[in-house]
Amino acid sequence: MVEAQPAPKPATAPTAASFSTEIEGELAAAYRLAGYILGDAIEAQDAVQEALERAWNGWPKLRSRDAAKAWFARILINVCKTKLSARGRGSVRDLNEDLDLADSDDPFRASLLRDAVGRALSELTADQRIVIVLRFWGRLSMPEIGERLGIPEGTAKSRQHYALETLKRALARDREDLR
Amino acid sequence: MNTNDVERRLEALAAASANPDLPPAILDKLARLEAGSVVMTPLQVQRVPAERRASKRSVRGLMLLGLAATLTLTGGLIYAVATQNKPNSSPTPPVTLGQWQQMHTFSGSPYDQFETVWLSWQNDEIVGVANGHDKFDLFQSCVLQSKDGTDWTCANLPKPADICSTDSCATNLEVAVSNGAWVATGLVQNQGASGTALPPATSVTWTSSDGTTWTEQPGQRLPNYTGAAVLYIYSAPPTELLATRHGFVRGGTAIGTLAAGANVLMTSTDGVTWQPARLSAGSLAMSSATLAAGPDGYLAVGTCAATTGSSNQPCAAHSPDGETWTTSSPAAGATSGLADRLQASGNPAFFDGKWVVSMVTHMDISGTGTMPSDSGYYEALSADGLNWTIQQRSYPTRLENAFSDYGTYYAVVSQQGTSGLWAISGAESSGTAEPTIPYLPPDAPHTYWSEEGTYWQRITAGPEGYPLAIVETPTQVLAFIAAYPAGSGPDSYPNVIPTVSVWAADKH
Repeated sequence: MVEAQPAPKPATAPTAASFSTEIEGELAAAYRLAGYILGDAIEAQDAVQEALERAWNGWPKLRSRDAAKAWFARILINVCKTKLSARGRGSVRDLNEDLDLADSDDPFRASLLRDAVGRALSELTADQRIVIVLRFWGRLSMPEIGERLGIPEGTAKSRQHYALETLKRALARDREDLR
Repeated sequence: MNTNDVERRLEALAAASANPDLPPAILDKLARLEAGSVVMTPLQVQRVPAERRASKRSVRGLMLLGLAATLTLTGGLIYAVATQNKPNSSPTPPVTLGQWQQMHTFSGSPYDQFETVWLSWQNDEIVGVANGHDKFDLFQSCVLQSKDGTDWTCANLPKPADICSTDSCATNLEVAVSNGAWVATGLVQNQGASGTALPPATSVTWTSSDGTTWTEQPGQRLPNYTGAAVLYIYSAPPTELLATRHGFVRGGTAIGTLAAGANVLMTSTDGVTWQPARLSAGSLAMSSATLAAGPDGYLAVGTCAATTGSSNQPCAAHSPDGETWTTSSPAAGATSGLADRLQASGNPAFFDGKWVVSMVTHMDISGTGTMPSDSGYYEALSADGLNWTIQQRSYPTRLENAFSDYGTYYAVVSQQGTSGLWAISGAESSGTAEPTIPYLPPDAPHTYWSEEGTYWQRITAGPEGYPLAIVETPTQVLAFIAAYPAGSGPDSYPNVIPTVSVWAADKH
């Protein structure tokens, strides 16, 4: 005779009422991350609102509420990546061209323009910039970044490596220009 | 300064960065969602014919670029550039394509490591390379050969044991055949200890008499080349090795400043002995180069070691014989502000009597956050590879990924073939990390044709999946397509390995 096993505990199913409970607390951090990924407060606000709408529409399909925060973060990152992509290719630029913009009203832009390494973020590809912002502004570990982006940890490390190399070269160039 | 210093500066900057309050508009959005202004069910989108849907998306994308117009033609769409001097022509493909048919499916090692594929028609057969990596970032690459698209071999290359501590460390392979001699070049990179930065890659050369058995040429190793990052950038790998009438020419991308007398552009008669390309008077060494062949010679496009203006400004080198090269600036005709922001993109091509260099603006994400009005894609045209005129160009939104790091759909474009350029747009490149958001139903894959890359015409449906590579043969257009299980996609690689199939459409 086979002993009856207790039924597995069902995952906490998401409900309409649970949406704001789970997501509202994430919004401030999400706005900050989007702000530094995009370097623009208006675009960050737009990205968070778009992510909210996508998450709201996808909420009934979410199997487990436990995954809600990471899921919302992924949606936000996808939205930010799309916005970065829509701007065109970001690559090498003259670091000096922004020096007079350090008093910008935009809090994210002003923070980034404060240091050459922040200005050089615009030389990174979208994928590289996202990894750097998650690591340093989001304070996530590489395994967490891999999980958040749905990529292997090795891929996240590789993106970080090439991002740091690009930033290093940009800073070296910046120093040369200032000599 | 090393990367540790960069990390410290990033940490300091992040710690001192502003933490602005959440804008009320975001909380208002949440409140409106909860209040029911958006129905909490998946949106029901009425299916409309694929062509109309694609048309709307394309028009939207092109309007955003602010530089293109669309023309509707029988049988598909023509994407044309609305520039002052270029007439809106409507070329038609010289052949028609039959339906795509599945020819072959790869299975088992090393075919489970196909992340990028490059294909060409050489030596009266399909010659290509497959590059991939496993969960530990160990690279797996092999040289593909097929006479008919059905029977394939993929030869592994011997590892340079003194560089590689792992079994697999070669990536970014390229292969070329000239006068019966086979040459492969690739980047070899010791992965180092876990958590440490990857060292610069070494460019390595192998030779073969049959494309199957390969020998490394240790005397031809070139240090300080860019490495695995290339895997993550373009769907269409750069062409950095080419057969010439007298042997071979190779390009690549060097890290840092070139040594005196060095040039990433190198030539060889046998693939065994290489030397920096011979330059005509006043020409510059190249620090990065991709390559193409044409009836009047060869063209390398990338950056030169020393140029005026931006160090990334496009530089071209033309050679009538593959031996002596003359450099010029494809962006020379642009205004100075634009010229400094133009950078070569993808591989050069020759078609319809002209060399074509694709360029794209960079520095678009500047501190102002505003994209300059002249941002976008450009092409430089030249009858002699030396004197250039530039004009804006436009790609269908669905092909953007084939020409840049960006784009919503995975797309690949062929090398210039006898009929022109062929491209496939496939599955969406984003969205796998989230539940399906049904703003729009997924578009069907498409096959595109272009004479030389300026005007693109949608020809027919394409194979379902993520396209990896496409090549034109004398009788067919043939593509590698990756299929991922539901809920996964290329972002899941290599945790999820795709099934890679060969598809072909007959030319009539």
